Amino acid sequence: MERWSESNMFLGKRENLFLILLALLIILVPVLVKNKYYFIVMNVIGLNTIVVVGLNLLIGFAGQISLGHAAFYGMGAYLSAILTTTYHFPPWPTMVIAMLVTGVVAYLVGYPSLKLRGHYLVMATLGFSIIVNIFMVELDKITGGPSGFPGIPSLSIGRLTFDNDYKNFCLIWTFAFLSILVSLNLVNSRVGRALKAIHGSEVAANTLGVDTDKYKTKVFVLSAIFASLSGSLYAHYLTFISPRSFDFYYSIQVVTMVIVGGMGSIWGGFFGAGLLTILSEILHVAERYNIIAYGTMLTLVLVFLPEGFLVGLYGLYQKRRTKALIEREQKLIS
Amino acid sequence: MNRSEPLLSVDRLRKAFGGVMAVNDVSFDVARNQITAIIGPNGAGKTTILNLITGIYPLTSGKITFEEKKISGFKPFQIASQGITRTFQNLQVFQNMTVLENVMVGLHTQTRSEFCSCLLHLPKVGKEEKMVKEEGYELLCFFNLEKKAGWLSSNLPYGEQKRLEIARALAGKPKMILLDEPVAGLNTQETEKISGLILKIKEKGVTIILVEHDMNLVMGISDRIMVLNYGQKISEGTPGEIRMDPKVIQAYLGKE
Repeated sequence: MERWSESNMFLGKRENLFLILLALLIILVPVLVKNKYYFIVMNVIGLNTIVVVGLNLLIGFAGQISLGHAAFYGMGAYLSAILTTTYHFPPWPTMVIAMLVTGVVAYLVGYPSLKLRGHYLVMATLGFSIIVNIFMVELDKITGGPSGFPGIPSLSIGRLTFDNDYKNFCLIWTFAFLSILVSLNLVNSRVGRALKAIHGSEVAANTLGVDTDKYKTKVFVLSAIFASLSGSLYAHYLTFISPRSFDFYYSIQVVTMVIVGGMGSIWGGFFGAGLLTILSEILHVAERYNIIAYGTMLTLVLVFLPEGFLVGLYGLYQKRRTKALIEREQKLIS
Repeated sequence: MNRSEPLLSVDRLRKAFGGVMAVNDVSFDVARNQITAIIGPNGAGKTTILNLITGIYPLTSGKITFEEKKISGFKPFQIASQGITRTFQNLQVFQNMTVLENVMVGLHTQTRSEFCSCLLHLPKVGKEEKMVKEEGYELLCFFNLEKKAGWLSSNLPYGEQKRLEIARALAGKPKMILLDEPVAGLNTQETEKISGLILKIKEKGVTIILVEHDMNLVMGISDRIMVLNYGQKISEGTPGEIRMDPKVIQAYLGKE
């Protein structure tokens, strides 16, 4: 039992069950919860979930690390904000435009750096996100500079305008659900296996016919598109954005969520996003200690549960159960 | 396609690492559906030749043709889709995946679905998945690993990981398979098992290049043997011929 793969734990029927549970939760929460503040927290969790699930495809499955997803998140937010507010583009098509533009930019960043072995992607994305942040601050005529960009219109479908926390909950979590769904589809497919194979042994994957450079670039672009989508939703939800929300700290935050939740587990990513968003809300009173709490948590998880909380705890539980089974059998024999 | 033509033909192959000539002017042909062994002392350049054939290293000079098509300069994944796969001397099993998943990756060249159709799980993806799972499982049965299909491959004992690697390489229905020391570190029983498997693979019509130090195995199953020393080919022939060749004896045991 213990030897049964952890990566198998959420496959197949169980996975569908979890999806149904999540859908039920999304439907039930608005009925049961009335506190406005909780909705804000849950909406932030939803937005982070979209980014983290995408990033987990890159980090947890393909084994490539990006420290620049704040930039893609920010590009989605700023492109949506600027195009809809300043140039009066319709919001929905603009979201798609933002995703495409971000995807192209991610391709230009990822293609050359993913051809190199080693930690080049980390450096390239880190540098890129700092550049993007400087643009947000310095291009103040277009972006509003450090004081931010106000007056972004809310999204709407026909007469329904998503102008409060409750309506945005439904909108954001619909997208979060869909991003989990398509990610699960991807992971349990030929492409998902190829990505995991790259993580396991790039050279072996290549000799089995996997175009490793192409797959790495594609999954990087895909994860950037997820981040861009989340950024656009964020901009239309809060109707105000500022460069601080898209700085290096956010990149660290999402990477931490991936690692704490569980690399290579879509549900782990969702769990990590929830756990750390709530944690940072609790620690809001002591904001300067926030980074210490994150660092401590990351270290502890890497040392004691390197597979992440969800996957790691499940593994411990499995071990326990196997042990108990063996003990019982031994008792029976004696 | 002319059946009497060699399947693989290597012409004046050279590979230099800095000032060291790891492979120096080696030419050889591999006939269809035969087992060709490459032997030689440590550092003779055997594994380097496999790395050159599979495109892992670029050639310094020379030419490799497969089914009369030039494949030198191709990337490893392109060579795989031409029908050449391999195993590794130092195991390269995907430790983060199950036994079955490992073999399913081997079927990559047999399937087509890409990012968009996988994200949306289009009907053809489901069909392909079913096919891949069934074929993968069948192959595990052939290799006697089906009972451990769901195991994380890192939990397999060493001998079974070796077998899994061969299974994975065979999954892509290659025309030629390169085995880099398939029995290194295995006991006599396990070696016999692998030896039987290699012959069965040959029966399936697959051409085999075998790099191996175990002389009993090499002499027992090879159709032809090529001997390398310091990057150069010093002898080539049937196992009987090689056994008698004074140059080979000298390379292994030194001069009297």
